[in-house]
Amino acid sequence: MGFRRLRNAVATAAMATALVAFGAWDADAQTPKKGGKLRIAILADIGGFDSMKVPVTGRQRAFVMEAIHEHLFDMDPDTFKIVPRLGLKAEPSDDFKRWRVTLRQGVKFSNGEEMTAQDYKAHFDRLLNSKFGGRFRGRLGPRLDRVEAPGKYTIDFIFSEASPGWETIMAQPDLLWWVRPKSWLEANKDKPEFNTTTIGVGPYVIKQWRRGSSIVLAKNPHYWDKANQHVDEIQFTIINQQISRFQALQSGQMDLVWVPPWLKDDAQQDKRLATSNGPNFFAGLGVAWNNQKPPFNDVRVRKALVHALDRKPLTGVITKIPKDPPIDMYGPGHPWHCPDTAWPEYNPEKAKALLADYGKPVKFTLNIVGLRDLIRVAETFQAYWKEVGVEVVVKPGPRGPQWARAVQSGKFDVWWNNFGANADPSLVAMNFHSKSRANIYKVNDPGVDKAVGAMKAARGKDARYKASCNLQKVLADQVRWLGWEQGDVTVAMWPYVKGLPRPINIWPKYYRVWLDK
Amino acid sequence: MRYIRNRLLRMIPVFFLVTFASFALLNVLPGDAADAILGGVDATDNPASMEEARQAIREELGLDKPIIVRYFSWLGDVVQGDFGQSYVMSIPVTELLLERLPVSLELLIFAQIIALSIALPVGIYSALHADKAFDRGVSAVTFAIVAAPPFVLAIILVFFFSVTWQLLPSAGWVPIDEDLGANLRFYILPSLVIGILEAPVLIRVLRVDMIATLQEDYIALARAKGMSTRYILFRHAMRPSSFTLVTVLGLQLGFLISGAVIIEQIFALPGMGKLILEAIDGRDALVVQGAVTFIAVAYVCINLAVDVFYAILDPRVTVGDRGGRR
Repeated sequence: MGFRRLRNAVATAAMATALVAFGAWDADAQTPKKGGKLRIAILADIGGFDSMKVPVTGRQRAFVMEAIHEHLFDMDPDTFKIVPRLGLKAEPSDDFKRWRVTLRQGVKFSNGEEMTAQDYKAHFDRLLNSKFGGRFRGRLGPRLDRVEAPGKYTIDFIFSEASPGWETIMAQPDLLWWVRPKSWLEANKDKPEFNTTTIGVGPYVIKQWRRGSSIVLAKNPHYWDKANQHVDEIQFTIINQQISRFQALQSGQMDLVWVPPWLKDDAQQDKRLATSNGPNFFAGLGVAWNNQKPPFNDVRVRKALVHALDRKPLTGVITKIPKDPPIDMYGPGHPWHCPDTAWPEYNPEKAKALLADYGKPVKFTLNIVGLRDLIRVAETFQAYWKEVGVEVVVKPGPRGPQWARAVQSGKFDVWWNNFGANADPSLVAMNFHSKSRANIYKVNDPGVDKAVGAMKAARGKDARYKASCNLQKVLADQVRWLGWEQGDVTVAMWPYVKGLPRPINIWPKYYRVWLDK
Repeated sequence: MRYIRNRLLRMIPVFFLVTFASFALLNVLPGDAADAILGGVDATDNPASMEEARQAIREELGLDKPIIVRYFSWLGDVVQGDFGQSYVMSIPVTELLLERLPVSLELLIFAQIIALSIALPVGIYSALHADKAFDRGVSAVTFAIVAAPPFVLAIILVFFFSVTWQLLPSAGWVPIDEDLGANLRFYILPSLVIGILEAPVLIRVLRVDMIATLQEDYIALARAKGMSTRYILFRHAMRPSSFTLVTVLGLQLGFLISGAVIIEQIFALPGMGKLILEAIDGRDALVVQGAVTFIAVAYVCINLAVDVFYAILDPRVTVGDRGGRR
């Protein structure tokens, strides 16, 4: 109580600052100021710069790398339209199995070398033909077979199957897009220090990396888009605790941090700070069941389990902010969100009736990654299900690849699941097809297969949207998954931080900001 | 010298025991460095390619060999002064330890200075006024501090000094050779937390020893001779009352080299504790082994130094014959 009072007192005392801030906030349209140092706190060290040593995009790693490298295309945060960056245009073949990208000419890497299609080919050859090739490909949706360079400024992305959403996928942060010069790669890849540095075409370059402590980026002198390169330096301090990161912002030690959903409320209540929100391009966290095993092979049980949950207040409790529960694999505000998808409503009596109709006792173990917050959510679900006579044991387990192995080996019947990146319907939604290699849910339903097939065959934004919503509707009708959270992304900063594009992913484009101080 | 040599020889079985135990324990934990390198997984990772990549990493790092083979291979390298390379970071372990050690040592030194600055005057004053109001008050406060977990004090200090008054940084670190002023500012809060948490133990042991010493006949004689209290305290009572204090300080020093994990985490100090935690989390066996070896050696050396220091405190003590003091 004392703490809250003190915090309120601090907030009140800072009202004057907030008023000044409002004044300054309106001035976003003013000419950006050049110079200064942007200070950001990240949660963990990046492990290194070579994706063959650190084969993970990772939230923290991408946070840093996205300022050093640049994408072929970007997504407009307001219209979600794809806009050119390093790539001037992307043209699909008729069957969408090949995408030809024309590169911007005259773009230089931070070492002064000109960027050409050969750099992309060398980069993709190295990654796709490595021991991690399968994994890297898996992140790009439809299988990318190879990359060719038919011209100095022309790249061909060649697929084994149609990839209609490739333009969007190219705009998403992923280690596959952290391209380095071919000559530099060949000259340095076998050196022991190769993992400690990198070269990119992005607005910033590595100035210093103090392992476990901080990373400093400086302006790339050869950057092609100087109009969008403002601060002189970006300093990342590694602070492992979420609350400590946020306190570092509040104390004025940091200029900007992204905050997890459970700190969003605190960030918005601190009147000294400004916040910016956007949709998080992840399908969400939730429960997945082995659709082939009893009792989950029976739609009555799956429906009963959802009818038993009062999902709206539950989602609020889970995310610590009032929020609607997920109804599809895209949250509100996402360009592919389908607001008309209907989910079984909260109705314990209906749940009991469905279970009675099923006729056998329903007992199962809900496997959960052993994190406090997840266990808490699982126990809440357990309590709701108990009310309708379903007996559930919550079993925490290790996270990471061991978890994935256990899921994929079919050891679990019901488990906590991260449904993955969903910038385009050609990503996670395809995993529900019976023949998909990532069909860990063991769905084998002609209706779902048909809807996935229609989604794959659809061309053009409107047709794809319609097919995508139809697939989401089928998945919801059959209750093939159960999402419990689709957190959005929130960035908290001091009002003097200007020009941050609306975050539409967990990696805000902080490297475009300027400091008005 | 013989005593020191014997103590150093006794380190050998300790070394084997500690290093093998940590190697084995890390092996018992679920997952390995290959899992850590592959990192988090989501629905885009398909089972076959993940397992393929995992096996390739395990082979590359030699994790597919039996634990005994790996342990003795590591041991063979250590004897030649090579602690190996971090599986996860691909950096020599020695380089990592040398990066992190100064951070922990600096924290440890500042924390001990703060702890002693609090403990010495308070402990002595409490002993002089045993069972009076001040002593009882100190007892209550020290017990309360001992009972409180370290993060509570850390949060309180950060709330006031960083968030509210914005006087000190709440987390981070700058090397001493880059900016001395900034470096010291980053250490104030973490050192204060550890110092304040350590002081109660030192106060308690100093108070008890001091009360016992003050009841000795030679102190009564000094009083009878009309010597001032201050003179008696610092000339006659302080040294014999410091034995337990020095022992506890030695143990705390050893512990703090690696044990300030929570404080290093909260204040984002890249010290040894944080390194070990990260290495365990990443199943980075060679880093854990390197750190454990270093800490085991440091512990033995510090305790050896404490034993030697006994002889300085009380010349009647012969090193190696601690029992002959009284």
